[in-house]
Amino acid sequence: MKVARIALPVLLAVIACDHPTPPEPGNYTPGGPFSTAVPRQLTFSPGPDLTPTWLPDGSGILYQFERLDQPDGDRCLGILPAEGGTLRAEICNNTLAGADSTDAYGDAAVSSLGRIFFTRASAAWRLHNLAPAVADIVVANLATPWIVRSIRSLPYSVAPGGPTHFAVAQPRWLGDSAVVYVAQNVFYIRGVGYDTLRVGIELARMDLRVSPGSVTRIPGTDSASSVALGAGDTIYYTVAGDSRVFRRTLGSGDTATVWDFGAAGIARDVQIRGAKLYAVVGGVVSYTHDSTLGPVQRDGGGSIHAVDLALATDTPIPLSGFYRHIALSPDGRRIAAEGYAVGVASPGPDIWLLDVP
Amino acid sequence: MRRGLLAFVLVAGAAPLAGQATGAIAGRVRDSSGAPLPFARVVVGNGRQGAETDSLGNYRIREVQAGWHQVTARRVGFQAVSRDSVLVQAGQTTIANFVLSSPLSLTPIVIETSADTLLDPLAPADVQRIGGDEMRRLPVTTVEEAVALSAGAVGESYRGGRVGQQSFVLDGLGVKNQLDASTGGLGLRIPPDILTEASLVTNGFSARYGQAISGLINVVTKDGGERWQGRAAYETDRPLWASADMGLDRFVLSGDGPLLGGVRFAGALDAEARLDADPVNAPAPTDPRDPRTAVPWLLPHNAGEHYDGAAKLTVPIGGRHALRLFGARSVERRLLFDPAYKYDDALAPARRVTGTLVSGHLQHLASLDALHPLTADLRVGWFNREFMQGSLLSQPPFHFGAFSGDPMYFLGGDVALRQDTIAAQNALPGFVPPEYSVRTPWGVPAFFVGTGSRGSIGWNRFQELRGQLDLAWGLGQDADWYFGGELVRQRVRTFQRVFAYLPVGDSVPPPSAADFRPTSAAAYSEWQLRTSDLGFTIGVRLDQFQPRSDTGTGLAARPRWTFSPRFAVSTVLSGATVIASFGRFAQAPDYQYLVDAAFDDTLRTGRFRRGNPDLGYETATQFEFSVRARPSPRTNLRTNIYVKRMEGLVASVPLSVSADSSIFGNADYGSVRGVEALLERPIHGGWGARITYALQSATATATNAFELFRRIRINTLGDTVFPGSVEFPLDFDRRHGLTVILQGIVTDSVVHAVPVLRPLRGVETALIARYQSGLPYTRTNAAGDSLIGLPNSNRLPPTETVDLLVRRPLRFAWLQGSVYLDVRNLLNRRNIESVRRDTGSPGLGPQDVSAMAESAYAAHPEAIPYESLRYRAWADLNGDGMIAGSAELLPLYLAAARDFAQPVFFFGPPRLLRLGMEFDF
Repeated sequence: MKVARIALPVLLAVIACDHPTPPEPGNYTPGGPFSTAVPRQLTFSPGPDLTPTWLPDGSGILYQFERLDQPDGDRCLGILPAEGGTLRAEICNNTLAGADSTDAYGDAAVSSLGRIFFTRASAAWRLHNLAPAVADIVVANLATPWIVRSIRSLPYSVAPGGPTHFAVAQPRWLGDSAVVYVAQNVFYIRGVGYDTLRVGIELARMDLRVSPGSVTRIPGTDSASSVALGAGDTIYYTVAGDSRVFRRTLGSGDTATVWDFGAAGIARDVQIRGAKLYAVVGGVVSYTHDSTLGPVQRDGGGSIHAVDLALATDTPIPLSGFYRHIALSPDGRRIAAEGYAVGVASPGPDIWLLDVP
Repeated sequence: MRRGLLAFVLVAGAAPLAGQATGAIAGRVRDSSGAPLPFARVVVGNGRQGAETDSLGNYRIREVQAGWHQVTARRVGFQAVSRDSVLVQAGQTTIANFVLSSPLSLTPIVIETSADTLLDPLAPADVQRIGGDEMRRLPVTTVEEAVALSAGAVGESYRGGRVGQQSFVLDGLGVKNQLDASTGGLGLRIPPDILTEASLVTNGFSARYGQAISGLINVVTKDGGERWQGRAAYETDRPLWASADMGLDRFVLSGDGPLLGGVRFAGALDAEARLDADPVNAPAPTDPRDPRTAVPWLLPHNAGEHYDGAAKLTVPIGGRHALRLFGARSVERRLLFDPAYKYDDALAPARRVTGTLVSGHLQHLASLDALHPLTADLRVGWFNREFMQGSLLSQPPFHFGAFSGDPMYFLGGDVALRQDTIAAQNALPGFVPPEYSVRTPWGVPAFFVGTGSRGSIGWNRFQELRGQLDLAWGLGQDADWYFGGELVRQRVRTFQRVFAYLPVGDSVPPPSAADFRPTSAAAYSEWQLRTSDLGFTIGVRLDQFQPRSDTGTGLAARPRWTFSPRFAVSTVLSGATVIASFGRFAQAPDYQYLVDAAFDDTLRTGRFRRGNPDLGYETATQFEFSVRARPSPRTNLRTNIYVKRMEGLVASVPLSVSADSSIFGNADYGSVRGVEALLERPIHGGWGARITYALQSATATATNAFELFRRIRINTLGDTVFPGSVEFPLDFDRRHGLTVILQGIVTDSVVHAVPVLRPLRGVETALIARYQSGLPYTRTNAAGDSLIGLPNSNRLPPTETVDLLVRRPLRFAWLQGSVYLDVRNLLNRRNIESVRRDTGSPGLGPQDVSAMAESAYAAHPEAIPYESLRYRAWADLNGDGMIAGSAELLPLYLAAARDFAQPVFFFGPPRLLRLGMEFDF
């Protein structure tokens, strides 16, 4: 009986103990970046990793990558941690209904209020179509990117008598209701492989509050190849085949040349933060007048130049390899860029992270 | 002397029908000189039931509710005699003899009572019973576990029958899940605390009962007592070491007693939850990266909880009527472990089954002095069983152990409840297509899935309103007549949608739904006759069922009839009771076979088939020869030899030349032959034992369904012959089954004899050891599309378990109770309960795993870059930020294949322990 009298309080006491819980899967991905070297390679995918842009708070890098694990070869948007590491999020067409088509999401930008602007294009991949069957511009909330609002289908014509815009590139948010971007022409060339050639037509502004989005051409920006936002309603831009960087005030229409890289080569992919201007200059770039296509700028990457507009100095950043589509971080201390190794038959560019002087 | 006693039993007692809630009390009343006392009145309880003795002093009280009763004998001029604790068992006759003395006599009062069910020659049924109190003394928890201790039982299969071929009788009212009993169970569990007894009847049961061809489970609940009493118990494995802690909690609360106006109440609640509700004794994973290598290897997403409650009101109406109202409800909620969702378990399926029974029983009792007493029982019952399985909207929160109280809401559940086959043509909201998981330790896109669930939602509801009238008419001391019938109206509703993340199309079958209202009816008549030392039971039963309405198949249904005669003759030879019986039993097919296949198919081929509303009865004809004897005063021995022929078993038959376009039909035949032996020594002198052994052979004879076996023969003329039928073992052909139950109590006399046991005084111990030979299984080729050999031509290894219960009484403050330790599979034996059909073993061999891995690698040879969620640093052998090539990728695929192919549910449960304490009040 003594045993029972002891056992009972013991049993009562242990009732309060917790049960063990079934095992949960761990986090098996590396915690941080692959290395801390400078410059730092952020992506290693054998496929192309393209067009990085920063999230407005600088916490991550949004870019486009190819799903090599799917036969349809979708292009998706991914968000990397600012320091590099494992993808934080993916925006893909993962529906089974989309399995028979190549769905490409790209040309994205995130506003300070968390809205994401991007383009969608879809082609039935089994038909080996070069051009997408459908394409449009959409806006979504970054937290729920699968719930999108289609803003405007592509291509569209700017009435009356204006050009047709086949694609948009380098969208930059003007507040939270409009974007300015490089309106482009697109050529699909069937050669040894397949090639898609984008040629800047001009800069344009799209008001997203209406549907379809209202498009306004920005005059004097013919053959624009890149655009960046400055202070107020000022934009900086480059044009194809030109070594100069222009500044334009959208309200007044005043335009000025702010820098000329001269013999360093053709300037593109301009970025600006205060008096610091960055651009890709020279490198593997050519500008020709094609008899069929017209003026064409082909770009395999170039050097990154840092210009101090206040001191009027141009400092090429010493890097091996070439870079394209640079994106300056919101704090102005880092650049994310497409990197092209020199002398390496890389299957596609990767995203690199650089410290800026 | 013994023969004289038996002869007396033959004269005095006739056994009531097996498989019911009542028994009988019979005996003889004599005076102190031994002379029979005619016209003495013997009454049960408060006198509402009773009988008068005949000229030989014999009496018999029919239709006495099973349980403990006070029995009183009176006669003018004699002192009344009462016996407080006379145990009446369902379907049996309890002998109670009285010796009355005159008030002035000093002769002591003598009462003899015995429930001599063993040697009662007028109880032809094969009944193996277990009382509610006995269940508490054994390491069993549920009625099903208790009944499974019977000879000839394989789980819920009895005498070779398929699961679901048994009938469940609760307080005399038939309750059956007629929709999918063979795959889904009853859905209603009666808390053991409200039981008087449970028994398994495998033959010779009364013509009163149909809808069973393998056995009848008879459950008798108790009426409320004359004073309030109750019990509270709590069981847990929390205090145990890690590997023994399966997250179990169980609460039991029961009570019964009188209410106002003579109304009595009895009720019980039983709630149990376990974090791993279906633990397995599978080998632990060997790869240290597998999260289940951590002790105690609980299966994730395998929690379950169930709540069972029952209550009964007994209302006396006048002197000769009683009304019993009974209600029971069970809710079972289970999270189901799906290996493909091991790392994304929130997307794994879940299941909810609820069962509700409400019944009323109005009993008319015969007058005490009736020459031909007539007892009538009118029962009305409403049974509702609802099943839903699919993906949950959200995972249940655990509040206490595995208790969540969450009602479980299912994706697409609203569409299923509406049976909206139009809306279900589209992809259902909330469903997302599954993709290969990125959350595994192996990373590779293979085997494990996430993102979305399997996309299925299944629902069915079975409702039944049953009215049953049973009459028992005493035709004198030598004959009884039982007759009556039942009317049943049912409603069946089903819905199933698969791949609900896609609209219905070429590769997505349309949703299936059915809504029909079958009816059935039955009438029976049975006579029990006694002459000299022979007893006869003759019964006939007529059953009819009719689906009545469209089952969604577009096929017509006809009403079906069946006639079931039953006959038994019994006598006493050389001190043993010998019984020969013959019976034909029938049951309507599961209604799931009437509708297009919307259920998991447990029949042989596992293919999708069309339902057939024109199915008829499955029947069995059983011949049996039984001998019951008492080799010593405290030893009972029963042996049964039986042959059972089953006909019209539901199987699938080809509808055309294509095996996939087939339909259910009453196509198969079966044959079961067996011997059962039961040796029993009730507890006496501190110990008791019960040994049961069953030897059986159960084979099926099938038409050449699906052309499963193309065994071309050349006959003597040189012609090619395709055999029209084959014979092979039935699924539940368990050849040998041995169960040994030992019980012991450390009594005062034991302590006196062995003083060292003094600390253990009062300790009760019960041990159940089981040995069962293996069940048959079917081998297939690696692709699973061709059989190797005949169906069921291979056998699993035997299984062995030892269960133990040790209970120590205690007194805590003013409470009396006990603490106990319940151990299942004490020796922690790893029993193999099933195997893969392609390998004949629980798992895959190394070569098969390699083949799986290589096949998966061939499908996805792409490199895994560093930034991918699939990147695993340990596999990047050259440290270049990419896992590429077979040297780096194949080890991942191999590890994933080993993980996915882990045999889990092929093994029985491990050693399970639970500590319990209970208090009586």
